[in-house]
Amino acid sequence: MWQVSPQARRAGVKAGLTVSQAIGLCPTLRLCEADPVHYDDQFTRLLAALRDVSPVIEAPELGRAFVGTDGLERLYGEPGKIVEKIECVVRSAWLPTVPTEDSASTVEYHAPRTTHLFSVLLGFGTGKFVSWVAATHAKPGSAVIVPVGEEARFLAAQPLGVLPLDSDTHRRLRQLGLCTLGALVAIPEQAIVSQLGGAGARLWRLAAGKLLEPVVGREAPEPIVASMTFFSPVTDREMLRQAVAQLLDRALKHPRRTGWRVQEVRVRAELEYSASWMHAAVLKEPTADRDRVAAPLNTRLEQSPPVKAVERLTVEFTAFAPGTIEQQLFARDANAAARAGRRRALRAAAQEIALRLERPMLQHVIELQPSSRIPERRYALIDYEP
Amino acid sequence: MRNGGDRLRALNVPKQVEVELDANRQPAAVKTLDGVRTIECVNETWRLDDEWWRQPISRCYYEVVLDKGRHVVLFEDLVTGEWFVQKP
Repeated sequence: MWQVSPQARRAGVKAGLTVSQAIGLCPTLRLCEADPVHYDDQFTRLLAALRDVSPVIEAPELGRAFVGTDGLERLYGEPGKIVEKIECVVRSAWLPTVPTEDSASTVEYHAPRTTHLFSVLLGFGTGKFVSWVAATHAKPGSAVIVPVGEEARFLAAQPLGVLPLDSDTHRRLRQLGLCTLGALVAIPEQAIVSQLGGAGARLWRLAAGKLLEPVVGREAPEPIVASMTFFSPVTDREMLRQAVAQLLDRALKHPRRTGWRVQEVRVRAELEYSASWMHAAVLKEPTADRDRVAAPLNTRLEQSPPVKAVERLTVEFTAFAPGTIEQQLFARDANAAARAGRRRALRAAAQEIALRLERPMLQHVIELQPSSRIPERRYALIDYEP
Repeated sequence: MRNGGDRLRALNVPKQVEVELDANRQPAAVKTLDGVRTIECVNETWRLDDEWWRQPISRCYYEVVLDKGRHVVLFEDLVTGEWFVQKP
């Protein structure tokens, strides 16, 4: 199970259960096959459309985007007008595209997978947390706007579940008789800190509307270009294909491409006698895989190659998509690889520190007698050796 | 344990504090970095007696709530009569 409706959740169905487990809990469950590629594509289009409103866009997960609106009041006016503008671009982002026969570009047509547009919930407030809570109360077409200065009053009535809590902390707070953010804030911050540690301070400040985390945008990188000039003009299609593959390798390894997938690619050729040839392709699915980027270019080279010999070949990545997880169902392999990479990096960092400072400066906690009645006998610090 | 050349440092070492007692010899106030803080209530007390065969450890622990709601754990070393603060 990937995502679960509120009704199914009330029956005990949770994300991560197998289908048979879910049906066992809820026999009348209605199953819809997930289409992660389509959701990702729609979300990418949404983010691209939101950039028409503001350059500061943060997308922490599939289906959720924060738009930084500082300074936009001079363009659009009051918050209500800004929200109207966002609703307008969101509607235009999901209208079906029309295929074109332009020889210089290829546009893929996507039929809507459902009979209606995706619904969008809009919340407007100071800081990410307030705006997100506002969005959870919104209805499609009816945004919730929290006026400046009203954050504390708005948050006071919200349930504890809106805070980023693990289930254990949530249970502990409920056992203390705290059900709403207002009840949590009524307790002094220091008392929450002594119960929950440092994390308690953040939770208290979020609940009080005092922690206003700004939207941190990620700029799409400038186009990445890789070129190759031939010693003598080339007409052989196999050689051109290999040259395209080499240029794609070079462009994919570019540091600015890190964290982004390629959405649009263009190949340009300067031909002898001052002629030129170009083909641009919008990838159906943004990717960082060389063969998948090369596929539409190779097809074009095969079907409609340059009419003269090529003197210089250029490959350009002109549009990108954030490097979100393409298929969340298979994220475990990516996470395991990331953990192995972090361990290697930690080992290298520890060795570097020891070399530069000539003595170990990193320690880690080890267990000595974890069940000892004497607290200072349970754990100790020891030099960290990778 | 690792080889003897590695440096081992204890964690959660008790820190000595000054404690004021009331008429019943219960902690009533403790001097911290923020100044003297009144003890609102004593949640729990327990006694620890250990290592009688070596250097006896005899402590009486108090989990207390200070004014402004902070929880701390104090103990009185029954051998020396000194007071310490420590995380449980």
